Amino acid sequence: MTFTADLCHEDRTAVLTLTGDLDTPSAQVFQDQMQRAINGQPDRLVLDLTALRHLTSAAVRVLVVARQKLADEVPIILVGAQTGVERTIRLIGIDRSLVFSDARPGDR
Amino acid sequence: MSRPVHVVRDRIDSFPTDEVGGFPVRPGRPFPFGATLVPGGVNFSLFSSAADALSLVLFRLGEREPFAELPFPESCRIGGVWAMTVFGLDYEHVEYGYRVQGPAQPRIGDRFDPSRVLTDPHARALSGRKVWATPPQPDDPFPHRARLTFDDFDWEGDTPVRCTHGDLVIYELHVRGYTRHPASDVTHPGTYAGLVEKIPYLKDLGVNCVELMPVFEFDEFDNDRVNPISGDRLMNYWGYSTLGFFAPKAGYAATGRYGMQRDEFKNLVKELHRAGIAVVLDVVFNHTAEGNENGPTIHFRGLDNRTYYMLTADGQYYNFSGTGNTLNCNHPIVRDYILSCLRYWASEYHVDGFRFDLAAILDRGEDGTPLKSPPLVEALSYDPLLRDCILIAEAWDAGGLYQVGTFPDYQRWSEWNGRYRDVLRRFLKGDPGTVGELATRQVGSPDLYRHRGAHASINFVTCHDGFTLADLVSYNDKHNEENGEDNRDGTDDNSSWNCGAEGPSDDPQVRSLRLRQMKNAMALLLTSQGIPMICAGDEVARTQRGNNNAYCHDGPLNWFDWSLLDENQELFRFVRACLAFRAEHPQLRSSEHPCGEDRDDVGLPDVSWHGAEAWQPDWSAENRLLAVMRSSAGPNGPDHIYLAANAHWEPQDLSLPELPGECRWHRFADTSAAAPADVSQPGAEPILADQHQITIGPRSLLILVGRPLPAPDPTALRSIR
Repeated sequence: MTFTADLCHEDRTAVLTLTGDLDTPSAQVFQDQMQRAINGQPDRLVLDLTALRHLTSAAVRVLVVARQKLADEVPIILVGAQTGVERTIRLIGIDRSLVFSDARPGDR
Repeated sequence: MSRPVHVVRDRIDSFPTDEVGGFPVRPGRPFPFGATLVPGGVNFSLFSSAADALSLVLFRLGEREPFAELPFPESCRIGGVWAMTVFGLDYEHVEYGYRVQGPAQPRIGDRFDPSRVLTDPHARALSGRKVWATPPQPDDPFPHRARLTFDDFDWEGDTPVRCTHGDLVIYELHVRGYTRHPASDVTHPGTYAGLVEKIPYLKDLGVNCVELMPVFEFDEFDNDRVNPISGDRLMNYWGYSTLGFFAPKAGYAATGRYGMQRDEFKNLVKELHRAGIAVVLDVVFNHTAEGNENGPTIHFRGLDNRTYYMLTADGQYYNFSGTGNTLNCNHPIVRDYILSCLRYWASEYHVDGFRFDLAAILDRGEDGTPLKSPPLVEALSYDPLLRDCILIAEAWDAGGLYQVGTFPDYQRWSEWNGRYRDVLRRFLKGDPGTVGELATRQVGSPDLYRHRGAHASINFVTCHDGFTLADLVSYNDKHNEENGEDNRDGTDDNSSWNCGAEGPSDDPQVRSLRLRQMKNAMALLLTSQGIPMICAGDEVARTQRGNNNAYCHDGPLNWFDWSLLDENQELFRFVRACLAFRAEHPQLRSSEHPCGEDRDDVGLPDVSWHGAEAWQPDWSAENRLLAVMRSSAGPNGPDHIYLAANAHWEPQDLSLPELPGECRWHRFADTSAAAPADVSQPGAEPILADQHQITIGPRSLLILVGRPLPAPDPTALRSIR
């Protein structure tokens, strides 16, 4: 399934919506969009993963790098992660520096 | 004010200069060996002392046939190193190997075979066994392909555990077996992630170092035998037959199917460190999975056979490992290979130490002769990156070289003290003539390690190889019928005693004696000077039903049954208390052997020996009672410990040595007492009513602590008034 990464801003929140399979070739697209989001110096970064089916180690690395580039007080919120995606993130131990959520901030 | 900085994004060597097999390439960098991701491509580097030609064979993930084969141009060779950078590879979906051409002259040791695709000996990840016990494709000519990976990981500031070696309590475990049992109640059974879920248990028990049985990639299907009783295929469950020395076992990772086993293993190390638990790896450098002349050609054999293996004059394999071949550890090339491998695990995976399987082989020269100053052992001892790593030798091999106490140590190495294990077992079962040697082992084996200190001794009663502790007190003989070798495999020298019935028993007396014997063993082990090692599960009486060589069983026989924790809570509680006792008494962890003098000015010598009468030890062969008193300055004042071990079948009355000043004897443990009086929490031991005499039960152990009476409570005094 083709990967897409759409970035929008809601006030001081950067929202990156990911769909499809995030593999090595598409990791570059993900990385570029993440960099754009980071450049906007958001107060928080929301990744909407509701329609993301799969991610690989290359994508995980983009997440880790983003975490290190953003200030500590800027949370990265993963919204709607499917079971397999969330499990992968937890198994390799990077979940502690991320926030999992069922809904986008403000939607609840 | 910051000035603009020029950031180099494009490098001169990040562009191809040639094309091979339809791929853009350029001459690569010879170091590091292996496949390294570089800007725009992958650098492949491999050494062979005698290869004529080399090609890189590329596969798409999971496909049997290669999609490309790229011969290394002559411009890509420097000396014996072939290095080429290939651009445009989708690194997550490519697997690779090498085809190597060279002379096939087995009589002089060359076994090049260009019909084979070889595994990269420096591969950092291998496919083929991504999910444990998934049946391999039949007739797959090349199942162990290398994968391309990044090395980066978010360590979150993790550093190796900075722990004095003497403070370690090692806990030997099998990654899969530890959590594979359904009763383990973890989310991902049998994996690195599953082990993470058991860290609270390890903390609660009180161990601070795990020794992981082999986690380098191996083939669990490397066993042709069948269980003659169940008909099931037997496996290479333990993993002492390495395929990939730089690659963690993918089948132990819940994420192995996604190729993320490296991250999952690193997370395990990070989480253990966060809990203050060090990680020691059991590493196997004495042989490889290629076996003897009839074994498969996987890597070294087809790459550089006479460099990597010890060979006879007519090109046959020396077999000091008992498995068919012997790695040529002290050849300069192999030495560098092993060194770079261990450096890699210490730096890349943050592991804290290594236990070397059949380490006596590390001392042998190219013809098998033991060397006085083996270059490999010396190099490991002085390596800068390994400086803080604990190095542990299993100081013997299958060729008859036994080096307990004589392994070349360079003041760095510790040894599995096989003599400690042997005498402790014999004493426990009541063999005559063991008290004298037990006394020596109890204080750190100064006869073996006088100049090295007590920390050179890794004390143990059981390990993965042999009976479990529960089986040691339940079986007189091994019962290895399920191994498929008519019960011929496994040692016959177990020094075990079944306490009156062979195997499981409902007899309360037998069961009670077995429990007491297990407590005796644990109490002796955990009060001995040296570094103690516990075999996982012994603290809850895990059994292997008398199998003392369970290398081949992937099932309940080997898995840690966590329901035993409830069933044998009394033993668990006892072991946990002994571990806490050890932590409270620094003199038990000292590297310095006692000398029999009052060095700390506490009114008693640092060690003294006793018998039924205080100050009168009995070293005669028929005596089965040993009593030792240890005295030193502890963190809270004088610290006196009196331990009496009675292996005789009758109780004995003991007169106690008198304590100086206001100190009084308090009872920490008495294995003849019914729980909960069998053991106390350190610091809360009850005072003995009779400070001069005590009775020790049959086949029992007694531990007393001498400390000053607590100061009177002023509140209580007021109320009396």
